[in-house]
Amino acid sequence: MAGEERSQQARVEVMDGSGLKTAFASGVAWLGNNKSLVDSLNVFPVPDGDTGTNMYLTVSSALKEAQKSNSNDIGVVADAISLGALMGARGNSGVIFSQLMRGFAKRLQGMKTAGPTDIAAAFVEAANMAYKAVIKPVEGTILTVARMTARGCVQAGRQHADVVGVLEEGLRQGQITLERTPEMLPTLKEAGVVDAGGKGFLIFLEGFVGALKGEPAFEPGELPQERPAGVAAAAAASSAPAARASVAVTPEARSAREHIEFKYCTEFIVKGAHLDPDAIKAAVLGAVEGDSALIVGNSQAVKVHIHTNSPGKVLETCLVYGSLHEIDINNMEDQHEEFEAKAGSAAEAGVVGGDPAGDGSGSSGAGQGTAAEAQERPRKPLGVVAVAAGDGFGEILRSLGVDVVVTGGQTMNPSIQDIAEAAKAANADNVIVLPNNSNVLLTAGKASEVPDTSDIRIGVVPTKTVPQGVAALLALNPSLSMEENIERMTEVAGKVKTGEVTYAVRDSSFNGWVIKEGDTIGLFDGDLRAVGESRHQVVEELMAAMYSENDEVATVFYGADVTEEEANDIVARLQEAYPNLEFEVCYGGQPLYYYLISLE
Amino acid sequence: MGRIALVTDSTSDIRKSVAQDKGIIIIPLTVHFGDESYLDGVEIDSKEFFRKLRAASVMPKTSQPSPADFIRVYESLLTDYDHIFSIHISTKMSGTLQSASIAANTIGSSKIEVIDSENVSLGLGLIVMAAAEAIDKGLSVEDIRKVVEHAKANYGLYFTLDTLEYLQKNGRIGKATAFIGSLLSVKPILTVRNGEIDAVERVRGASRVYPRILELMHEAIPEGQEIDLIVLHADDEPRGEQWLADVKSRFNVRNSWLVECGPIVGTHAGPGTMSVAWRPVSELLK
Repeated sequence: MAGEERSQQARVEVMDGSGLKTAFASGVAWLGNNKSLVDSLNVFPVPDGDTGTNMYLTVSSALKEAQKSNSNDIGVVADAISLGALMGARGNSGVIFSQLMRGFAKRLQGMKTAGPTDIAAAFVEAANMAYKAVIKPVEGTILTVARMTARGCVQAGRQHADVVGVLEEGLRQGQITLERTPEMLPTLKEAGVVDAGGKGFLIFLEGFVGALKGEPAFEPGELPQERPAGVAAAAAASSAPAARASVAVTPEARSAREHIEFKYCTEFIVKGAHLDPDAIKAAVLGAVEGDSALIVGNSQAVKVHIHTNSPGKVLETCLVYGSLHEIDINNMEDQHEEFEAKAGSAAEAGVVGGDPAGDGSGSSGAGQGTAAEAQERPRKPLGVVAVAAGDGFGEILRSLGVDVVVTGGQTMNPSIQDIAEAAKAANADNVIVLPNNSNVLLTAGKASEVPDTSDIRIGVVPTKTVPQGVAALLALNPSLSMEENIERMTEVAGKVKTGEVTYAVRDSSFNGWVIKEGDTIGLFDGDLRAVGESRHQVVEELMAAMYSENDEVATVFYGADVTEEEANDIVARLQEAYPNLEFEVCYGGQPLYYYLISLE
Repeated sequence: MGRIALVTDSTSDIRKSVAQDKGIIIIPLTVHFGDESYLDGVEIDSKEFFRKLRAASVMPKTSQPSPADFIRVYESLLTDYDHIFSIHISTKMSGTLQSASIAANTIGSSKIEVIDSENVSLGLGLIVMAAAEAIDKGLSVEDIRKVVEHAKANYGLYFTLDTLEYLQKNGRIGKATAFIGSLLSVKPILTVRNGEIDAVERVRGASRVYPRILELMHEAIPEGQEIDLIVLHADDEPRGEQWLADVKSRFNVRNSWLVECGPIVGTHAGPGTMSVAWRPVSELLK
């Protein structure tokens, strides 16, 4: 057993608040180092939500919250982590992680320190909480991995392992389970990968345990940029092994955290004909100093994300390869301040309630930013928030009665906090959220748990695509109650068929199709139904797969990457092939997806 | 028990022949095309109105009857009748009821009972037809009042328009403003609630409006319930016939009427209007 290998090391009998912070920080850093590996495990060959990045952003937010806590009680720190994870949660895996942390914190509530069996019990509670949060739990995902990890922890605890031994056994059983996820989930097996969320969770846990063991791999020098303070503390602690789990964060470490070495978060997409993401990555990293570089894509589009002090140089460098789109440069010092301000008030509210996902006891947290401005106007009874990417969709949704459009979708999953902010800005007593993407469903569902939305009732119509969201909006009736509207909107949304035309980000096979990177692919309600080189051909095949005799109206929303002429041309041909359908062409402006087609 | 008279206005879209048959007196509103004015149902009918509307370069306008119009009618009725029920278009849509009330107060007779239907067009027509039947049956003033209240409280109504433009331009859009300005082509389904136009939902594609209205009716009407029904069309009789026959085949319909959208309602709703309204049959009428 893992515990025996380190029998000569000092046993770690208890973990306190500082110890938890230290270990958590190491987990965050280790996940940050490996997040692109997790991203690469996404199952569908579409430019999908980035599981690794989403989880990393979630745990980073949790860490920032933890580091604000001055308490050395493990219960208080765990609470802070739970709140931070909830506020920063992005994507499905991030939301599930936030619920794991919620369960973890629940078990440790009120405790100053935790022993091995407490830690094991907290992992069990974490898994239970996550299962409860997911409407239809699916085995072979992060849920299964977390549950089996908890089982490992409990077994080791029964055999009197110390804290490290408990976690190591959990990690070991988690790994075994992860390897088995392809057997549990056929889509994973076909894609030849293990579950991305489960992998991310275990990478985090590896970092967590590594810090407790003082392993060299988790020394500060080996850690990625954006090094969190707790890691520095862990390194300092390694010279005194017996006390390593309880070293406080030093003032030096704290100021290091607040210093941002590379100020400008620079993000854009390069589009061109024969792009080589690796060449662009090498060129960017050769041209500027920076960190958090994430440069990925395919031969037609490469997403560049880097923190640097020379954003201009990055743009210049990439201009050689193709045209630049969706350029977004932010000064992170500003963002940091904003975050501090927001998180500060939310943290207070959360601590008062004692339960960050609480029931309203955490008070309103009003008086901040847009929400404060909004509250000067009288609130209306019912507001709507919708998530969508693309300027065209933004306008369409607003024209159909959406108060606030949150930018996001397949690749940019908004956080719980983003949705909560939008709900506040909608300035209504009741707010209906249309997630419009399956990766955002869970996030939307948790927005009501953010403490300062406690005076808003938030309901979700579980739309998985923007066309479903559009259909749902048509059924919106401001005179009815939120519950009646949600029922009607959900019913209507379920009757719409959605077709998506995009491109494959890598070679793969799926549903028996052989797909080459860069191929145009057509999905019908999420299932791959057409593959080809020409968009015309893929749209026509996809339409053939979607069409049934009862259909009456087809709407083709064209994306940012195709011209109006092409869209009109494609629709003219479809109209010939389907003379009984009413067609409408609309500019959606969505990234990555050439066309979204709704059929009803 | 004395004789009871029934008065309404031309926004009820009750057919002339039906009104004559039931002894319902209809006070006309006026529709104006530029400088030309026409008394609704007297000097212009539905077909003529829509023909003019298609040719018109300016939007028509409408005006309510004057109190004097009501005084004339009420005074002549009071010589032969002991009680007058005067049921009119919602005060939130027209000043017609205002004129009627002034007339009643001017005359100062307690025999004139002015009622706000909180409805319009076939919705108003449905209430007036219930009152007519109650009078015909020889019910007391009190029971007739009950029948009217029952109809006001239990009606159902859906209508659709080609465009919300007319309602908006004429300031009659009510609570349906939320449906204005869609970038997608959609057809609105609307109703009348609390005396004004209210939004129900929007559907994509004209062909899907009627099936959806049927679904909504099935949700609203208990299985087997006996109803009275009115279907309204705007210069599209075949479609009106089709709706009427189809609804009758699906529900337990007692009395039914097919009506045309008159000039006043047509001015505010525009072409392409279709509507269906129903109410359960009051126990007092069985």
